[in-house]
Amino acid sequence: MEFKKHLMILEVIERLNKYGSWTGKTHVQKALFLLSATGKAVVPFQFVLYKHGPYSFDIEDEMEQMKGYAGIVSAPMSGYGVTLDTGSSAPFIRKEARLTDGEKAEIERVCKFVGSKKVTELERIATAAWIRTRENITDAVKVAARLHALKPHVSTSEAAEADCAVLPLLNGKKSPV
Amino acid sequence: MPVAKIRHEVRCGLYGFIEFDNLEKRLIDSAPFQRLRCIHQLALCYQIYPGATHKRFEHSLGVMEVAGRIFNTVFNQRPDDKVYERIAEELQPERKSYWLRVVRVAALLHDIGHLPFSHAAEEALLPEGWNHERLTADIIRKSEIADILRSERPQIDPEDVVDVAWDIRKRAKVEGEVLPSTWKTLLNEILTGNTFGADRIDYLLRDSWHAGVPYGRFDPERLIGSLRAVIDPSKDEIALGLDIGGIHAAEALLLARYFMYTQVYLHDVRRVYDLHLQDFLQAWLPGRKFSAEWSQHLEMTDHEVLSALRKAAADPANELHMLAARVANRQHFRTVYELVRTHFKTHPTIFEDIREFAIREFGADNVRSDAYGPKWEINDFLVLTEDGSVVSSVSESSVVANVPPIHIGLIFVVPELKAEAAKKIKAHLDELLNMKTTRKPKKEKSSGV
Repeated sequence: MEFKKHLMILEVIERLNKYGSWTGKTHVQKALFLLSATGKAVVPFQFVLYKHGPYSFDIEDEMEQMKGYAGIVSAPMSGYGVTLDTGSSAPFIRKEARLTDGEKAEIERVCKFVGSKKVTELERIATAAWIRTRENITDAVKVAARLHALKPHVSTSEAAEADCAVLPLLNGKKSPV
Repeated sequence: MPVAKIRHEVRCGLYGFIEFDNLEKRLIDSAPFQRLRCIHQLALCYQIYPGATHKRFEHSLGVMEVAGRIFNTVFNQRPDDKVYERIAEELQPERKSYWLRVVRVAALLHDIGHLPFSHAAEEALLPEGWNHERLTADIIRKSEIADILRSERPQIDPEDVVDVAWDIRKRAKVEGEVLPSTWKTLLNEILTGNTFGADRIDYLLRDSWHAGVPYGRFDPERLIGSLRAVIDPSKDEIALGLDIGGIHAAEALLLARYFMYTQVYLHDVRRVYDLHLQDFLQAWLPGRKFSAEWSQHLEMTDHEVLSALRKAAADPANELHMLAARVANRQHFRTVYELVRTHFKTHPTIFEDIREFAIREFGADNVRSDAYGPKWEINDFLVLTEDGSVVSSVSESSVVANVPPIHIGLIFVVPELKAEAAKKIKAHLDELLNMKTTRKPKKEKSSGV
C-alpha cells in the first residue's frame, strides 16, 4: 500500500474542508492535478484528459482503498453527491508516510485556490492548466480557443476567464482568498 | 417466389425472443462473432457452479436486446426541453434510426475481443497496453466486421461503433485522452454504464440464472422503463439518469451486483482456478502471452486451451503436467486465509503481513495470493424527482448510499500444507491483531464438484 499517495490525498481533503469546499471527488481530483501543474510538488498520480477535464484513475482507486480502512470517509450531501472527510485511520497514514514542508505549503496554496470553486469552474480551470502545462500552449487566445474546442459548451470568453483564473496559481503567486 | 425474410428471431431464456435484422444476422454469422460460442462467459466458474457454462455468444445477443430497449425508452419520448435542444439534431428520425442501429451493433460486438476464458488473467496474458476492449476495437475496424458495416446502406461507420462499444473509462486508460461528444458519451453509457448499462443488466441476470444463484435478480423492465436523459446540475452536461419511480429497481441491481461479486465472481476457488489457468497459459503460450494481433487472436478459443490442458494433465511426462492437473484434476491450491473487512479497517496492512508470513514459512512456490478492492459501487447516479429537479441517488436512497465495498484478500497453499498453514496463519493473525479469537466471514459456498 502506498501511504505517501494516501497522505497526499488526506492532506488535500483536510485543506479543502478548511477552505470551505464541498470536497467531493471532483474537487480532490482537480486539486491534485493543479498541484502537479504548478510543478512545485511531486504528485505521484498519472492524469489523462477525460470527459470532465484532467482526471486520474489512480486517485479514484487509492481513495476507494482509503475508504476501506477508514483513512477517509464519505457522506451524502443534501441534494447532490458525496462529501469527503478524514477518517479514524488518518493518524495511521500520518505515521506511515511524511510530506515535506514544501509539499505541505504547496497543498495549502492550491487548496486555498480550489476551496471556493464550483465543479463546473474547476473543470474549466483544470483544463486550461492542462493545455498550458501538458500541451505547452502559452498564448492566451490559443489556450481559450483550444479549451473551447475541447469543450464546445464552454464559450471562448468563459474559457479565457478560466485561463486567467489559473495563471496566478501556475505562476506561483498567492491566490486571493 | 418466396419473400426474403427481413426480421429474424432467436429464443432467449431471459427475454423471450430476441429479434434482429439482416445486418445483425450477417454480423452474428461472421467468424469473429461465432467464435464467442467457444468463450465461456465466466471462465472456470463452472468448476464451482456447474451450470455456469454459458458463453459470450448468448450474452452478446442479450446485451443487444437490452441496449435497444434502453435506447428506445430514453429517446422515443421527447426529453425535457433543455435536454432536447442539446441533442435535437441526433433525434431527427433518420439520425435516430442510424444511432439505434449503431447502439445495437456496438452492444452485439462489444465482447468480440475477449481472450479465451474471458477475463481470466487478461493483464498478465496480453502485451502491455492491450486488453480485450482494444482487441474488440481492432476487430471492428479491421476484420470482416468492418466490411459488413460498410456494405450496409446507409453505411455504418465502424468508428461510431467503436466509440459506443468501448467503455470510455477503460479507453482513457489505454489511449490517455478520450473526449467523445456529449451524444456519444450518452450512447456509451447506455451500453457500458456502471449502474444502468446494458452489459451489466444482462450479465447479472444471465450469470445468476446459469450459476443457479438467486442473488443477481432484479426488475429489468422497471429499471429500463425508468431511464431518462437528464442534465447533470453539477457539470451542466447531459447524462443518463433515472426517474424516481425506478429507484427501488436500481437499488436491487446494486445489491445484486454486490452479492454476485462476493458469492460468484470472487469465489475463492474460482479465483484460485484463474491463477492456475494463468500459470498454465503462461507456460504454454509462445512468449508467455497471447497475440495482440487481431487475426491470430481470433484463432484462439477455450477449445484450443482446454485441449492442451487435458492432454498435459493426462500425461505425467508432460512438462506442463502439474500446472494442468491443478485445473483439470482439481488439484488446486487451498484457501487458508480470507481477509476480514473489520481487520483491514484496524490493520490496513494485515493482508500484506499475512502473505509475507506465509511465503516466509512455506516458500513462494507453495503460496499464491489474490486481492481485489476495496471497490465501492460507483452508485452516485442522477435521479429525476417528482418536482422535475435532478438530484444525486445517494441523497435519495440510503440503500444506494450504503452498499458495502467489494473487497477480498485470499491466500492459498498447496493442498498438502493446508492444515498446517491454516493453523500457523491463524496463530500469526491472532498475534497481529493482539486478540484471542478471529471471526471468519459468513459466506455461502457451493462445495464444487
